[in-house]
Amino acid sequence: MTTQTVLTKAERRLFRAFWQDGLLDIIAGATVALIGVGWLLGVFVPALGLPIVGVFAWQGARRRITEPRLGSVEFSDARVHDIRHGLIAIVSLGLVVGGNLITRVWLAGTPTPFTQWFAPAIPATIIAAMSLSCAAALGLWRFVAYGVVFGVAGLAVAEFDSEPWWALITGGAVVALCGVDMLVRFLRRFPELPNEAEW
Amino acid sequence: MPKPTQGINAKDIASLDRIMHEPARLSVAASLSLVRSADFVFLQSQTGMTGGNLSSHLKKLEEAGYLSITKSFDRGRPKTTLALTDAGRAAFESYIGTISALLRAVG
Repeated sequence: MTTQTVLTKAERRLFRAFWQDGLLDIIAGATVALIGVGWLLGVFVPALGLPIVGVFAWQGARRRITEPRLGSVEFSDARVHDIRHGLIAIVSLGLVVGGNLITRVWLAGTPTPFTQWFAPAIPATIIAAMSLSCAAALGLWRFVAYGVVFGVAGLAVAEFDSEPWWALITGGAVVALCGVDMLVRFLRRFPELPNEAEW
Repeated sequence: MPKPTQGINAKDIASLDRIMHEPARLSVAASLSLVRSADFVFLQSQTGMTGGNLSSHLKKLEEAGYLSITKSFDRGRPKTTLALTDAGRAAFESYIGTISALLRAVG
């Protein structure tokens, strides 16, 4: 193995370590679950603003929880470029999958038995696609599992002809709980380091 | 039976960068080589060194021109941002290259 390969692998491990605090999982899961709750309570459209709140909450939580333990890092230009394109890919895939499904199911005139059956699964399918995209973009393979969770939840609401928000609440809760478990392990593994003013 | 050492050039060993050769400083350089810049807490978490110990090694790397240190305040707390300079990156890569060649020569 060449030195460059070793360093590249080390950089990848380091990058992944910065996403092992569970905060992204907690906030993303809670956001999706709350959108589901908002839908249940009839405030779906305002609930769509929650991802913006989630981004700020995630940044604040990282500053308070992760940075005092792992520090803060500015990754290489190549890595920043990959993250930026990854985030664009996540949103784009969600829009493409969502737009495609909505067009097929709701705007295609007379619904077929399949589109009628599948319609309640659309929101969860969009989240599943975004999870898979996130896994590929950031190299966070647990998001493949989250994608499967949302996929299965979507198929379940389609099969039982339930309301779509069930899939969002259930899937979001699963993701958030996984995040809590990760956060607990992260806090045990990485104690807060003394502020540099203290030595 | 001792391993053959004919491939080792003693001059290569003698020419190893002494600033980089110290394990604590090497771990600092290795950690910083992976990123563009990082703060003091990051290096503490990566190297496991105490603040005082880390600080003394950072000073030596800075004196050698291998490290740039920027001090600032972030929400009222002192923040030290560290980055390898071009010379520091070159020295680290050269050191790793020499050590790798020596290890290959030992077999």
